Amino acid sequence: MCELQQGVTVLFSVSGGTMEVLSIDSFSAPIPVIDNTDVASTNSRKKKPGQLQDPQQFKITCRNIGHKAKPAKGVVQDLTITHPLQPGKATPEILDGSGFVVDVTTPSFSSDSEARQTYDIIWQYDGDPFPTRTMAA
Amino acid sequence: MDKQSNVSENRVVLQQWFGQSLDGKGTQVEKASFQIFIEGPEVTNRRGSGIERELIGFVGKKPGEPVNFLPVAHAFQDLLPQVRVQIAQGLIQWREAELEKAKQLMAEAEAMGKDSSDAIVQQYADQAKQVAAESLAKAEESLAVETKFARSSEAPDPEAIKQFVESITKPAEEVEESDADNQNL
Repeated sequence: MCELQQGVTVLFSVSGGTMEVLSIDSFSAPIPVIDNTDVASTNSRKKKPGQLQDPQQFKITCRNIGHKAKPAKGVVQDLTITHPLQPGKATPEILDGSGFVVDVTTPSFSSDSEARQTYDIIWQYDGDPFPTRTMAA
Repeated sequence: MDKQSNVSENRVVLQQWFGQSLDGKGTQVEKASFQIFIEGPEVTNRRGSGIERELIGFVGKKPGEPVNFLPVAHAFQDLLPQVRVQIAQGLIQWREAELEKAKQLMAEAEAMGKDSSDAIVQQYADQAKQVAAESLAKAEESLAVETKFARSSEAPDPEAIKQFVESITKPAEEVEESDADNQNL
């Protein structure tokens, strides 16, 4: 069995969810890797795990629709990414957390090939609290 | 599809949800919003066999926050006006239950330390009364805002909410003074 990508939706708690999403990059929050090598080390560099996860920005690419609003930058709100509903379930998996839009790009235009207009939303989870995952049920 | 179907045959359920924090510790976090589910025969009719309950959106707990529907709610477009009313009713009921809990807490706090002359006991009792009073005032205010601006339609204007909250939280003396000032003018 595999779970497919089609059917995922994004919702901004203040800006709404009227955008038509084409792709959502993955969210990551790696911990630092601290180098712990000293001059006595002769085999390899030594590494230690840091403590604080660092929520990274990620990109949401949307279809550009000239008459539809785009999310406002800098407004602290929740971003809820609702996964596709799996057969037999009432609630899909949900990733949700507070943060803010860092940037909203304009579409790019090119005469080289025909393509649809898209724009990017750059999102930052603020880590306060850290985003949560709700399992499908 | 039965166009005569009424949302009263279906049910809108506001459900509290808990997410598992991705902070590495996996702590359960209570979300500051409700999940909105629709349940009933129309869900099966419109969404295919076997599905009787479906998540259609989210609504923030803070009075005045907008109701956000997921794209799947388009399947219930004609029922949405009634769904919104049911959401508002659900929110008001929840606020009333919160107010009831706050009143109970206040009564318990007032009963504390009555039979004791110990200063420390009195100190804790006073602290409990203060916390309970704050929680009661907040619950009363939230219910008043929720009832007046029931989120059955679009999210109310935040400025209107602010003005209303100021009007219900203004101390009585202040109101009397300003009335007197007006008369003097």
